[in-house]
Amino acid sequence: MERGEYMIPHDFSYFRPATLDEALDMLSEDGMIPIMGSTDVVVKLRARRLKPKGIVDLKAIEELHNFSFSKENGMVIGAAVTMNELIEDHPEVKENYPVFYQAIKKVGAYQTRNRATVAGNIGNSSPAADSVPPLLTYNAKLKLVSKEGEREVELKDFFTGPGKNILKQGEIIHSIIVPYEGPSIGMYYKLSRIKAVDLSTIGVALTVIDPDGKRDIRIALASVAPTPLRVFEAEDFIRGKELTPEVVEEFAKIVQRNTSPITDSRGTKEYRYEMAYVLPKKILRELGLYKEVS
Amino acid sequence: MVIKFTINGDEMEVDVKPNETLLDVLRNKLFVTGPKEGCGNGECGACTVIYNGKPMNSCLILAPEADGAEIFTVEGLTKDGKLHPIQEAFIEENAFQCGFCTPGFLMSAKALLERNPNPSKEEIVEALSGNLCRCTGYDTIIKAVKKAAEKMGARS
Ligand SMILES: Cc1cc2nc3c(=O)[nH]c(=O)nc-3n(C[C@H](O)[C@H](O)[C@H](O)COP(=O)(O)OP(=O)(O)OC[C@H]3O[C@@H](n4cnc5c(N)ncnc54)[C@H](O)[C@@H]3O)c2cc1C
Ligand code: FES
Ligand code: FES
Repeated sequence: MERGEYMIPHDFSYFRPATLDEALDMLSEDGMIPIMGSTDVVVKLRARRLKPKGIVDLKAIEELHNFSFSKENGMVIGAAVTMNELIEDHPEVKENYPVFYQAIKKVGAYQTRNRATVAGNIGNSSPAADSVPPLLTYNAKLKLVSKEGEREVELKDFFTGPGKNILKQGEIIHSIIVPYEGPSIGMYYKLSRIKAVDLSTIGVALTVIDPDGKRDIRIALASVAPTPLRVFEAEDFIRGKELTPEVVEEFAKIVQRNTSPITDSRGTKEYRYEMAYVLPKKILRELGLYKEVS
Repeated sequence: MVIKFTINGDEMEVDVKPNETLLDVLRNKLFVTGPKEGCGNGECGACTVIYNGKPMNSCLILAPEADGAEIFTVEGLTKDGKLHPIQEAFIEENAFQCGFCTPGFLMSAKALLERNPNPSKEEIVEALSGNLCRCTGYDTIIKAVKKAAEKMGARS
């Protein structure tokens, strides 16, 4: 059989260990990479952007499929839990983390979400990763494990550049831990060239924790900087203030000022920069939190 | 490496390489050519199969990952020469022209009707959003899925 241009051009080995210990042993070797849903990895293999010596499929490891939620401990998402499982099988996600729920519903198509995982979305470390901005607004943490042991890191400290992160060879994301800080409302606004199956031109997650009480507004963006970006400066500015048109205007300007977009096939830097100002206002308006004076 | 899986209920054993995708193996080694390769990148849905009960793009699954899986393709829809109600509905509503995308649409539609026997138009659009059609347009396809739901409801 002729190997056509779409086929994966180079050889590698494949392993599917049943235990975490075996997997971590295998991954400690240079050239070995983990996969979950393989939706990013297969595309990169085909495009010759990834040439691993071996692939360690983590899907057979039982403990990575765990999901739990409680108000005391928050939500713990095992690395192997797919996005559709979060959307369809765990109503706690929609109920307690609505902005995260909206964002994962916008990832790819139904078929993609039957494979795609949040761990893979984070591991891939694209500035466009849709699950990340809402997780940043919810103060998510990662449990990382390797042969040497485990550590917990803040998601905001994980990314170091496009496709880059702090993971060491042999270290994997074991689970994503999302604290529960009270009820929240908000919106994930994703602009893309087409509605389904496209990465974002820009994504904005605006989360309001405890909307009827302390009203803590948080904001994070995708595709406007080398890494997903949470804008603490804007949050500090707006904290405790009445949402007058002037305050909201200044908030949006601070968000915009913190971005450093580039031009690529999905949009120009000028468009992204403009939208980083327009969308925060639009979201606050659509949430009914303020009205522009007419 | 030799892997085992079932295709439309039949057990199969096949020798695969890690750099082959499930779609490569189905089409080129097992001659199950219902699933098509449109983009090879998860974007068009022509390669959709029902994998352990869920629609997935077989072009994004490495062949060895499929060891132990239950795979369902368009070839499994027809029973004893009789078309499946979803197939009948696609014919009655003229929901295809060249037909390249159709096996993928049929798989997404079947999986949808199994998890939601009476979907709204929005739910149909959502479930089919990963399937592209370059010639028919989506109106007749959506109508066909609606009609299939009615036919299947009436038969059960
Ligand atoms: C058609 C299509 C549409 C898409 N649309 C979107 C979209 O709208 N929004 C979006 O954000 N993404 C999108 N993606 C990208 C992709 O689906 C997501 O990033 C997905 O969440 C990746 O998850 P996965 O489990 O498939 O990861 P994999 O492909 O298995 O892995 C991705 C990366 O993470 C690493 N990795 C995997 N598991 C771990 C782990 N446990 N610990 C550490 N590293 C790990 C891998 O080595 C690899 O580098 C799309 C992809 C396709 C093919
Ligand atoms: S060939 Fe698999 S989605 Fe296009
Ligand atoms: S009928 Fe030709 S692509 Fe859909």
